[in-house]
Amino acid sequence: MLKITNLHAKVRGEDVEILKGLNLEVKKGEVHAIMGPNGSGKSTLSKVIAGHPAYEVTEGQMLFDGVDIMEMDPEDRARSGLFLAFQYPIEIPGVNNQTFLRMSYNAIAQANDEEEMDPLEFEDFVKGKLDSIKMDESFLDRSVNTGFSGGEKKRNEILQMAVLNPKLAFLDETDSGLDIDALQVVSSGINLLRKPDNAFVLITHYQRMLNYVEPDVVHVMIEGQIVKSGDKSLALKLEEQGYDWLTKPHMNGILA
Amino acid sequence: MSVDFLNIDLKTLSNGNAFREGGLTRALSLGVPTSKNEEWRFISLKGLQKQQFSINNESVLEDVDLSTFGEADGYKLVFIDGVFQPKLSDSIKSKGVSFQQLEIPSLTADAFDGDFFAALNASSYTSSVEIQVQANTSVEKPILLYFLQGSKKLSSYAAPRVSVKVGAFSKATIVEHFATNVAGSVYYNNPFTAIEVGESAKLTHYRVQRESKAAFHIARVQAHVGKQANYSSYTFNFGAKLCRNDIRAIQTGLESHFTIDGLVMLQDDQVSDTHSVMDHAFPYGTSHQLHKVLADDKSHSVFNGKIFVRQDAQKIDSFQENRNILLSNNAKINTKPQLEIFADDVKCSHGATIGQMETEELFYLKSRGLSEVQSKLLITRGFALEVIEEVEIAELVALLSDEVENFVVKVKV
Repeated sequence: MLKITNLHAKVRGEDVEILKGLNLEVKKGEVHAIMGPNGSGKSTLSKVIAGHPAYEVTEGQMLFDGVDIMEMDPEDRARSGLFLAFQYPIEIPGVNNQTFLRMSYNAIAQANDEEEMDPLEFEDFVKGKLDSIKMDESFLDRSVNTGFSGGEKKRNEILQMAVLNPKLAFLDETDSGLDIDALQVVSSGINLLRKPDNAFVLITHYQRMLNYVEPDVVHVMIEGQIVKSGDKSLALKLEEQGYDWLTKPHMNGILA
Repeated sequence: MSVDFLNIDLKTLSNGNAFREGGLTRALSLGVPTSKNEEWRFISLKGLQKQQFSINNESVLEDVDLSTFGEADGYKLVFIDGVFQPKLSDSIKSKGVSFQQLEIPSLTADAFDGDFFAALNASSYTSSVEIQVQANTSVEKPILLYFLQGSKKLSSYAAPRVSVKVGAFSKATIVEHFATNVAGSVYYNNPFTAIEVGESAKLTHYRVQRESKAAFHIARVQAHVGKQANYSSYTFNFGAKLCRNDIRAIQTGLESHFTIDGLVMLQDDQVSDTHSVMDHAFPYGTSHQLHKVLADDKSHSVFNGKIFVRQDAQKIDSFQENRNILLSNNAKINTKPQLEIFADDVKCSHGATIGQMETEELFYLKSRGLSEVQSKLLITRGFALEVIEEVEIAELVALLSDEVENFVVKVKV
């Protein structure tokens, strides 16, 4: 589904590389977790995949369903089935959450020659999704993320994901700042969406979310590269031992 | 003696009326401000001064189309070219509310000493009315002041003068709505509004400026806000070729609150300049100011917001924010938030942002499949609606939202 080869990227207009030859392959039906210390480039990776204009890819390839997405605008990536749950969801005052969700749903439906929904149809549809993540209906009438608590913002990302039903979702530290209840709600939301023909990449600092959403593959990202991949036991090992056992040899060039 | 852009004999007009005479003396000694004056440095009044305006002396009108003001339910008070029209107006049949026209205005405190246009209004008011709400009165319906101006024949001068006094523990809502039926008509409106809010009273004040795009609108509003009283003002400036709006809120007792929010939307070569003063003279006052501006085409917006905290005014909590979006490379913004604090235990925050559309907001919407154009229009609309959401009169919300829609469809993104 997603195949990233030798990806190099930097902030546009700056010299320092953040992604330094990253390789990643995600197949249908899989859940991947990417873990790594602060500053290793995890968030940059998610933004580069979603097409954030602040980043520039200098080398490498990103294939999504066999299509090169490198030159695609963010909206076209979204329309082809990519989704990014933001680490810091953006507040958009004055824009009604339900209207936004419907416009978004319809934009993607239209691009895929699917039926668009009118406001009434959509209201029924979205209310069904709300229940699954235990969000109150009042969320729909508020402005997008405006004045939402941290947990509410993260749940709103999951709601968007549930509405848009992407093929591949990147969740950038969706677990951070969540209390145990919110974490369970968000995790069960993800589990409900898991299907044989879609895939998820969870970017996280902590192993705790992986207790609820079981990954098929765990990657360790350090200094802009994936330096180790394994099964879920790798996450437990990282939780116990930290990253030192990986960073030190890496610094010495042994793994690199 | 005269003011050169007014085809009005101010001397004769004020003869025998000490209030007018005082205004004329002040106006003439002050003179029309120039850009050398710090308060006027960003805009030019030359366009105004090139014109010749006259007072409309035609007889009372009976059949006037007021549909532009919308359908809001309330007590209508109608002014045509600045002259109050009893035949077009409702009588306010609400217990504890009185309304009268005054030959000579009452003004207990003047917050615009030294201001040419306030003095000009005092010398040449075309009507002076006073609304008084007795103590312990709740006025259920809003009082709607409709100012209609503009014709093909006459470049009219209007100087309505409105005084609103809300007694202790009372509650009222007023709307001042300025509009025209003759798009493109040239005229000049110079209104003055004086407000007093008594102890623990609440006045909500909506001001909607939808003048002709060729008109001049120079308005003054002063609000003296008593102990534990609340004055909440929301100003919407959409019309006029040149709009200058000065609003001064003054705390006259402990624990009072003002809100002075505003939305400005400018297209073509419109100029809008808002000067506000929030004057905290007593302890435990609070204030909130969100002033938002959308500037498109070659328009120009100025904002100057002063917050004074006097020496004895401890424990003040004041918030001010001016947010501007430039929708075109040719639009221009000047903003100047100003804090003058003489007390030592206060909380004041202020800030101003000028920008193109926020990259992060745009990226967020686009990452959800919305096109660049859809995203920009959604953000523009949302930016404006944030202020409109505060309005508690549904018909007015609808009218203002339509204005936003009309504005947004013209934005070239």
